[in-house]
Amino acid sequence: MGEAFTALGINLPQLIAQVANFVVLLLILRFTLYKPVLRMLDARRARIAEGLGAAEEARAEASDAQARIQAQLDEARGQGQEIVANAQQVAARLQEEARAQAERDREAAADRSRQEIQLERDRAIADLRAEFAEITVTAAERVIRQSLDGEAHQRIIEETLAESELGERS
Amino acid sequence: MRKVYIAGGVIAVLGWVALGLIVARGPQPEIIVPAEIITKLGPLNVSNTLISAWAAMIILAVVTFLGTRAMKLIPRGAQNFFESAVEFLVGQMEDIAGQRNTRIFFPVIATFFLFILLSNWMGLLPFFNAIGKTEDIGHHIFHEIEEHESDHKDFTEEIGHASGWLMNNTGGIGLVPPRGASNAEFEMGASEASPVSPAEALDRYVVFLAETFTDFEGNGHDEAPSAETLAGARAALAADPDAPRLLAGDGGHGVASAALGEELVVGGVEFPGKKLALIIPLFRSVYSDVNNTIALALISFAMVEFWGLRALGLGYLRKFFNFSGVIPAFVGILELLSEFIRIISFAFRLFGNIFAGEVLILMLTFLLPFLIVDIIYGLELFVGFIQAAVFALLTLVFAVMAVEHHDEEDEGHEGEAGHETESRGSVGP
Repeated sequence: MGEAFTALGINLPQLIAQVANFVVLLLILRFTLYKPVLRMLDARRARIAEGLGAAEEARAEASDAQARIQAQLDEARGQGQEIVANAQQVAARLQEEARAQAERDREAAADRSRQEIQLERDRAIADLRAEFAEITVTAAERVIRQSLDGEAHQRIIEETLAESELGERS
Repeated sequence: MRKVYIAGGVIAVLGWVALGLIVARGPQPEIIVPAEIITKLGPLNVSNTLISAWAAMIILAVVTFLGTRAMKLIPRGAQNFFESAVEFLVGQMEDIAGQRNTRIFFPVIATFFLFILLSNWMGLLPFFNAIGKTEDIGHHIFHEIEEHESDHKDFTEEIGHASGWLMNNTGGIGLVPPRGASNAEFEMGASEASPVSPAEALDRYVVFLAETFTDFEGNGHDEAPSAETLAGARAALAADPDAPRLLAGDGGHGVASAALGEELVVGGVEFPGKKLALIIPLFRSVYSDVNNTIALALISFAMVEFWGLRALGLGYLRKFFNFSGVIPAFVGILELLSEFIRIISFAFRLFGNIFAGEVLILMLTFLLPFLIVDIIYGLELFVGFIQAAVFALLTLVFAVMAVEHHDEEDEGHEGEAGHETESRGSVGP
């Protein structure tokens, strides 16, 4: 065993030295490589996760806003349609009213004209009657050359007229 | 036309390999398993693998420090590289261990991976195993002989590290000679059965030097050199001014020659021209040294047990010491054994792969310096990565196994769940 150790050059001080070397190197690398690099990698990972989270949030917010805008648009469109429908309704009503008014006006005008015509005709008839009566009186005077009092005359005329077609008509 | 291209390609490849053999062929490498000691620091032998480990640590520390000094949320340049590396490791680990365990295991596992990977790849750099301090083998052999002489002890085994390269004096620090250096190994034929006295060793050494450095031809190495051979060797050495010179020793110091009696007392050897030496590389792949791989394996073992105990408390030990029956007890012992065998398998898997790769590259550089060795370099890059990954991943897997709840506890949980459903049932009408 001892010979094998000598042949391979195994000696305790160098073995211990190499163990110490490793420990020293481990501590150095921990300080110069592992800690800073791992910290940086973690920091970057956290940053990226944060960025992705923020992007996700922004995207959610954007889609939220989009939905809100869409809702507002829909609402506005609905309102617009309602307004238009109302307006159409009002317009129809107005039109209806206008037409009814016009109808009424026309009716009234027609009534008035009819009344006027009636009045005119009544007046004309009255005039005609008066004139006819006068003419008749005159004619009768002439025919009978008999003076009768006015009242008797008038009564006779009236009776005559009542019997006649003109009187029946009124 | 195509044939011409193929023939041209073959000729170019062969020419390139031949050129490598001519200009870049080094001496035959001396494969030494233990890491070579460069200097001593108190009780610690500072070996070349330890120096390489420190170099890798410094590089890792400095580069990561500079790369992560000013971290920004939007990464640039080096930060990108380090972040992707760490993220890659974390990702791989999370697949195996889950997110929560990964944060606990990460520093240790990642350090295993980075340290082993960088060390393995650094081991492929050209100055590894090539630049070093010269070790004077010629003097080393004489000192061994002199020590045995003063202790009055015969050689019962060959002198260790008795082979080297014939190379020019490079003054302490040098490069492995790229060409022309030949190898020489001093052998005495000493063993327990036929011990060699220091005096005879000296005689053999003198003949060896004469044979190696001059045209002198001895009469074989089966027995101790005769007086004539020795005289001839001395004459040959003396005739050549560039050959090694034997320095005379005084009465109380030096080695007396056996064949020439008390007359010749050698107090030292001097090499005015070429000398017999080796280049002990200053840098050698960190995990071609068993000490370093055993150290990592021990840390891996300790961390796995620590994590297991922290996650499960003393219940963790129930995996090993379970006396509810014969078979569970036996399985527990096997588990315990396997826990310790892991140290050895961890240590020797890494050591074997890296050391073998290093030897392969050294030998191929010696045999065919150009081109072929490039393929092996590519392979070794791959092996270096795989071994780092294997070490880190196996540690991770064992750690995950250690912190997982044991079977019996799972059964207990199921029982509790059953009670819960029962009580929930009784709440109903």
